[in-house]
Amino acid sequence: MIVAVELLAACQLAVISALAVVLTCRRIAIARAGRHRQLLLDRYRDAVVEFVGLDDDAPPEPLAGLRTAEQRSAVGELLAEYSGTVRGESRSRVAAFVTDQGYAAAAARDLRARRAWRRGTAAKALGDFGVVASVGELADALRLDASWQVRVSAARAMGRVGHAQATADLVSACAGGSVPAGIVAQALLDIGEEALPWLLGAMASAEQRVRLVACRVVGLIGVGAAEAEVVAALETAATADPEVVVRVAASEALGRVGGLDAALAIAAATADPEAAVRCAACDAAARLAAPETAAAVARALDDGDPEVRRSAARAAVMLGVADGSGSPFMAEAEAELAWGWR
Amino acid sequence: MDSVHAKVLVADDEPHLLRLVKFRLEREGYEVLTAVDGESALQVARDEHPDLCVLDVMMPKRSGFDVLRELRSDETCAGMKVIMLTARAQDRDVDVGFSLGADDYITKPFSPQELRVRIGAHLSKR
Repeated sequence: MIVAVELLAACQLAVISALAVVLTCRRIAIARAGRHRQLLLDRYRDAVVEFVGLDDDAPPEPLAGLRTAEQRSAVGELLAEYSGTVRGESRSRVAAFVTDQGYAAAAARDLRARRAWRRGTAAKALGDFGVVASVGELADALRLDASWQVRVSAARAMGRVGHAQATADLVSACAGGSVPAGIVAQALLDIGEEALPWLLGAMASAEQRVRLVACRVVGLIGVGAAEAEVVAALETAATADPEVVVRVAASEALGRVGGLDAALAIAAATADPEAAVRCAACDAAARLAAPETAAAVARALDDGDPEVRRSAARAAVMLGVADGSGSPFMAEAEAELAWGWR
Repeated sequence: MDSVHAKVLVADDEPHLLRLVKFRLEREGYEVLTAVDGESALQVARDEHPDLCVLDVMMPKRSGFDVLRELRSDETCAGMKVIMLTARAQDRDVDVGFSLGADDYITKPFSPQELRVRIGAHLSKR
């Protein structure tokens, strides 16, 4: 019995010792691999900075003759890091290079990797590379990936690529709730004016969050070449959408895009049954300072809701409307204006 | 002003961007000073009197707007050109930048070519 116990203890000790040796070796190997990776990054960093920062189409010599997978991986990481900070010619040059050299294809393959962190990293790299041809693969990840973080990474990357082709998929993802609306909004904002035609369609979506995102993003992007369509869609949303939050967002957006039609729509929104919308409309009128809103702002100075009266006072000060000179909110708004509130 | 003799301060807490801008401007012949936070940017600007500063807005310790405000109230830094280079692209941010006295406002991601041209244009006005 005693011999058996001693034997068992010895076995346990041997297993623990072996495990300790394995873990130590593994730790050493990881540290060595990390140092090696850092050396590679340091070796190629200047060449990547030169390629991204200068106007030469031909890549510097160190980037042309890479032999090992480790070297290519390090250069791919650096290209993604630096390309993500630039736009214009530099970004187009990097996109052409990573496509030609197979970096974009390698990242697209990694979108199907087993580990989620690897898929997410690949999505980010594709966004930083800015290769338009990768939008389809990113859209697949946005639709189908089981990981929430990977879907978010794919949505951000689609925005970074900045091509209108991504807009419909982003709007669908927003409608389905597979990524947060704020992430989709930022991605659409990154795409910019090219997203406008899809956003106008999204403003008629059955999903409240899609209409909300569309109104907010349109307000930030501006009207582009489609001023009449954008303002008409925002006017409909500001005055007829069944959801208060959408009417508020549309009123704010009208204040940003500006123009005569927007001013008339804002004036109409100051008569909304909901105080939050009337407030937003008055704030938009203050932002726009268009004389077409003056009569509506003067009426709002006598609104039953104090917050609306406060917003109306700010607009009245901006517009030079004298009707509310007895209101305490007018003095407050004048002081705010003098302090630089606008 | 000849770029070979111009001194430019670049302040940004993003090391990639700092390296990229520094590399680009040095290739153009500028003497480039760098800072990674608002406080050191202000210190370098006061000590070295660069001809032009490229300032990020969101930096540790002091924001680019704070640095700009200080520079504009400092007589020893009068005439120093300031370009804001920032991810803050909203109208209100641009408004604030120009109202504090920025000479130019460029949003990130930026075009290195455009930055070079704008810096050259501002320095040639001196």
